[in-house]
Amino acid sequence: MKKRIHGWQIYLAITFILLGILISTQIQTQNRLDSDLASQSTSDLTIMIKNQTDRRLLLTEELAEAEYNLELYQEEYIDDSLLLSQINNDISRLELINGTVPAKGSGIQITVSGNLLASDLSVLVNEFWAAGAEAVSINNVRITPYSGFSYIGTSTATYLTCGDEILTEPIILQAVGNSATLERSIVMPGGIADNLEVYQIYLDIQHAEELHLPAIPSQPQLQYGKVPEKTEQQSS
Amino acid sequence: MVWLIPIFALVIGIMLGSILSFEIPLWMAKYLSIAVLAALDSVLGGVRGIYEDNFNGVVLLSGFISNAVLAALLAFLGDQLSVDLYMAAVFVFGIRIFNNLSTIRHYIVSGFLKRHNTHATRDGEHTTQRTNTIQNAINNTFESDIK
Repeated sequence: MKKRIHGWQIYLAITFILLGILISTQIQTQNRLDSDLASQSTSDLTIMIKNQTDRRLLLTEELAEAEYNLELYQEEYIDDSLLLSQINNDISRLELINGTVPAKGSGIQITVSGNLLASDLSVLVNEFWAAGAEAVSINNVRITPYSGFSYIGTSTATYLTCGDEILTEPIILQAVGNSATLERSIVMPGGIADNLEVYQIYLDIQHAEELHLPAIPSQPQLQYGKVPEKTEQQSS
Repeated sequence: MVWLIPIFALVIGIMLGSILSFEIPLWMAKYLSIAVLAALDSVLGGVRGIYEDNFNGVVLLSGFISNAVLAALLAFLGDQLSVDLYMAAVFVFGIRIFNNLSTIRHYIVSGFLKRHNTHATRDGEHTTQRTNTIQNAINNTFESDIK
């Protein structure tokens, strides 16, 4: 059975479509109006401002905390960097003292003319250490706490030795440090220079702007000595 | 079933309005609301006209548009003149809408009751006829027995 559409249905449908569009548009506009600040009541605006102020305070506190943490981290980083730098300096200092690295710097150079004894060399080197020498070498052989002077004799001659190295003439001592202090320690009245002069051994002292001292060929192996634990150090 | 097409049209209209999203300036929201009220009044008037058999589609459409525009313009004019015509329009359209709704409800309920009563009368007549037929058959049987 074919259903007949009445004329009024079409007119009413058109009107209803327009009404639907109007209602929908009005609802959307009203929603926008409700969310618009200008149309809010004073009390609502006051509450919103209070909420925003509270929120801002919270964020400010959060920011301050974050900045404080950042500073802490930066300080820690700087501390770490300082510690690392200090450790590197300590290592360099120890390497210089132990002679495991070449040394350079200002100091004095003494050229010895005459027949030196091993004990004379020991006294000279001790004077250098006492005068604050930071690195010492004799005939390009680096002097360390493990160095010792002795003699080696052949059928024709006897030579001074420093460890396994033979020290041939001229004996040249080099010391890195304050050149004036080093010189004074040697030439002071009644000092080693005066003593050696008695045996007609003369020292030619020269100040050097930059001396280059070699490193020892190999590091000493420590077998018995150990660093005590920190707790032991504190208790002792 | 005859109302299915207009109701469907209303749903389509709402959907179209949602999809198209007309950006009406916020200051016009107040006047748009009064236009909606006027349009609703026109539509309900049209529906009432259908029940009263004096519906005219052209009158409905023209009334729908002109009432909406005029209501909005009057409310706007009232604001400009510092006369609260907006409230007057709400009041008038409100009364008219409720009147129209009341009349439409009256027609719907009356129609429903009329249909219900018609069915009931038809059922009653049918029962009476059946009773009479049975009674006649019984009477005929008795008469034949007597004879």
